[in-house]
Amino acid sequence: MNILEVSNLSKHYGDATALNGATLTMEAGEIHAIVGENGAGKSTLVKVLSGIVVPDKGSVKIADQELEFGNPRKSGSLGVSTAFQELSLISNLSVAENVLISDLPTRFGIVTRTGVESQAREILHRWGVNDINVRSTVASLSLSAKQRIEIVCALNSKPKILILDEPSAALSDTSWLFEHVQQMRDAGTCVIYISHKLAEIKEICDKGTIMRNGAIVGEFLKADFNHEQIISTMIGRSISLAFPPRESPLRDDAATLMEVKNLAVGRQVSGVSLDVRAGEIVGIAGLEGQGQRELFYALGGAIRARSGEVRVEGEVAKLRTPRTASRSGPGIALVPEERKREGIFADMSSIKNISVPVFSKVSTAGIIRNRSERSMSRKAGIESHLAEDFLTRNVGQLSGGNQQKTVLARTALSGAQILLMFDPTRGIDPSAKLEVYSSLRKSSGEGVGVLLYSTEIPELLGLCDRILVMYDGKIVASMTGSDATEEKVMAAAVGRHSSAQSTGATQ
Amino acid sequence: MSSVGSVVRRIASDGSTRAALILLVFFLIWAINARNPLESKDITDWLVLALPLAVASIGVTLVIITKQFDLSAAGVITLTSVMMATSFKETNVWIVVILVLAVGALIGLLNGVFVVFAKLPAIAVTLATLIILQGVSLILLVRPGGSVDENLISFVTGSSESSSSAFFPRPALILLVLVVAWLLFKRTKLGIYMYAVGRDEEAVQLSGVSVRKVRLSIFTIAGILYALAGVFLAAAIKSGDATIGESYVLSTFAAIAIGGTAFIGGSGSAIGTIFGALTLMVMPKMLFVIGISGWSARVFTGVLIILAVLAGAVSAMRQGAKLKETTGEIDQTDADQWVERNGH
Repeated sequence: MNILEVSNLSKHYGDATALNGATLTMEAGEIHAIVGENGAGKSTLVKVLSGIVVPDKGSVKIADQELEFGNPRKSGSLGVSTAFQELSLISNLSVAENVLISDLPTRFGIVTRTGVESQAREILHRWGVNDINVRSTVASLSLSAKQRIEIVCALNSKPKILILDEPSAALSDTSWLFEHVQQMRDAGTCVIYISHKLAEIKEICDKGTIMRNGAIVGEFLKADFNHEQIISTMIGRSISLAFPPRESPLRDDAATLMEVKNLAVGRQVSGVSLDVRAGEIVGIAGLEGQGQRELFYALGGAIRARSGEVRVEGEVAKLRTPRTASRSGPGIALVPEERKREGIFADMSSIKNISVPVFSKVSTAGIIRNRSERSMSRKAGIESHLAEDFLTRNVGQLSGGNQQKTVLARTALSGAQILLMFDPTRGIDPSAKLEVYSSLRKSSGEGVGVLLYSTEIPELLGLCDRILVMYDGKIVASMTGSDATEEKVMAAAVGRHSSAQSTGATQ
Repeated sequence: MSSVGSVVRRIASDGSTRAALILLVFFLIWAINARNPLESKDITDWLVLALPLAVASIGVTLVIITKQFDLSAAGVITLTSVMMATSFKETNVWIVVILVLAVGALIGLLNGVFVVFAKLPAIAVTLATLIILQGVSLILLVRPGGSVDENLISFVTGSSESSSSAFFPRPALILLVLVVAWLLFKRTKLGIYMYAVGRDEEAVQLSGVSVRKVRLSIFTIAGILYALAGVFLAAAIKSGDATIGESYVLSTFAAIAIGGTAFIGGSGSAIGTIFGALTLMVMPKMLFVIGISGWSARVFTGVLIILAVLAGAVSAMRQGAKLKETTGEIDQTDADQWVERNGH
């Protein structure tokens, strides 16, 4: 019997497509994996089912009942229960209060501590969690403790459909999780298991669905599980963009611009070492949340590293703030992830946005000389392929691609010789992508060293001299030129780096 | 002496305890330096004046805990105190009090509707409410005047000589009742959700609890508290004055700051706020007996607020650093971005 019927679900955010006619069915008493690259639509699907996101089109039936969208309570009453990837715990409440949050027991209207605590303790014990004090505040717990509580909350609501979104991300040992997931399945629950870790999926899941670009592109059964096939279906055959070729090969004697040794940032990055040479484009690949963001932001001075050393042109650099980063050696500039929040001043013209780093050069006694500001911005803008008409417009009104070109023009004008580009083509149209690629090529041709993170592996393959793959906060693989393929990068990114290397060796 | 150190650290890390200590010190300076030994009348006068401020500031504290903002307190206080001094002379005073509290509830509810449903910024909505209510109050009572029911005055101030207990002034009793009510309220579902909404709104939403209902209820309760403050103010000044509420615009926030509630949502205490209000009201007296008076008293108030907020910030930073050490988690802005990014 089909417990879940999803038909033709679509969801768009502006130009970006999160779900594109997704249709699938699931049965009671199965563990059903959903796999796909970042942005394939898995999380959006989960959020639709949980009542957080309202889709543009489509319908969902749970046990033959139509799901009313956008209401977590309605989803809950139809039997959907979710352990979210970003965790839905409330940090300033106690563990006990969190476990019982949607149904706090009261006596004469008062939630007594002893009452909540004993009930919560009982629930945690029932699910085999005995080492967490129910009195402690959630904020004081480790990430793995939080993840287990999140999972217990989902398990305990006796769901018809249990959704686990990356449930093992913070767990060092999955046996506890697997035991209970299997119990739920045997009791007739449909478990939707979302994970990047294919090994786990092979171990625990009965079936799987593969998503790409918001649509369902494949299915598999436990019996015919095939890593390589799943990965290639996940990646798909995207239209190959014409990547501008390197004009001259990277010189062997190119100077090392930046040298990173054993960098650790928070818990997200540990023991990362890499170097970037003048004129080189070094790619970073990895699934979402493997520490790439923290690495880039630490190198750009936006967050502080815990330990390790960064040398710029041989000198130890102090990357305390983006300002000190921009002033170390030949200058480090970060093109941040979230353009709208971190990259642009939306209510100012492109001219102003571009000229920020050179304000002092274009002003006299603190007053900006409009004409020289305009001419410098214009030149940099045009070099970044920004159409002249857009220069005087407010950046907030421009398309994502033109906003990004504005950011790149500013970066170029700053004169920084080390560029940290965090997913610079996310959410921009193909032609703008090509222009970003050619700006990148041009900069590297002038001797700028680039560290490039992209969620699109073909982009890295087409542009980079070297690709480093991050997994769980570490660099787990390094590939150069012809050695790198999508399959190998993807395999390393899902934590199968050892086998990836061995297949590389046997080929 | 590590145990002494840890006690000191615990005191320093709790906003309401810090506020209580400040209050104690100021009170002692006042009591010791007073020309004549303090009489119960002096203390009652002080408490009667502090009572409306304390009650109104508790209302604002609740709103701030839910990570919202409310400037309308002073407007409601003015309107309701003017109503107490001018309206319904023939009606039983307790019925008027209930009516006035209902007016407060309605105003709070309206604030909440504009903020929660129309999604307008709270600061703009409540500023408008403040100005409107000040205008309405002036229409009701152009010049200070009117009179307040004797029963109400003696109930609030305990000044019917025969029954006044020298040992425990009536306003102190009222404050004590408020403290008990607060301690109970904190443990109701709404009280727990109030803190939750102020810290992790998104997580509360995911748990299936209605964030809107929580905020709306808190705005309404705050409105009732402002009206109650207006009733107490009318009893304290025994007449009506449509400009008297103005000083509350700032002093409510001063009381909250001194009381150790951080303006970041998800934390705060009404008890600290009560201490803050008492401190603000004892300060001019304390400064007077040691020879500082007039405008320089305001300078001290300002400095005290800065110091109180600074102490709060330092202890929050300490705790934050500790958390980071133990769990190594990314800070809140990172977490927010994470949630935001994953939501799109």
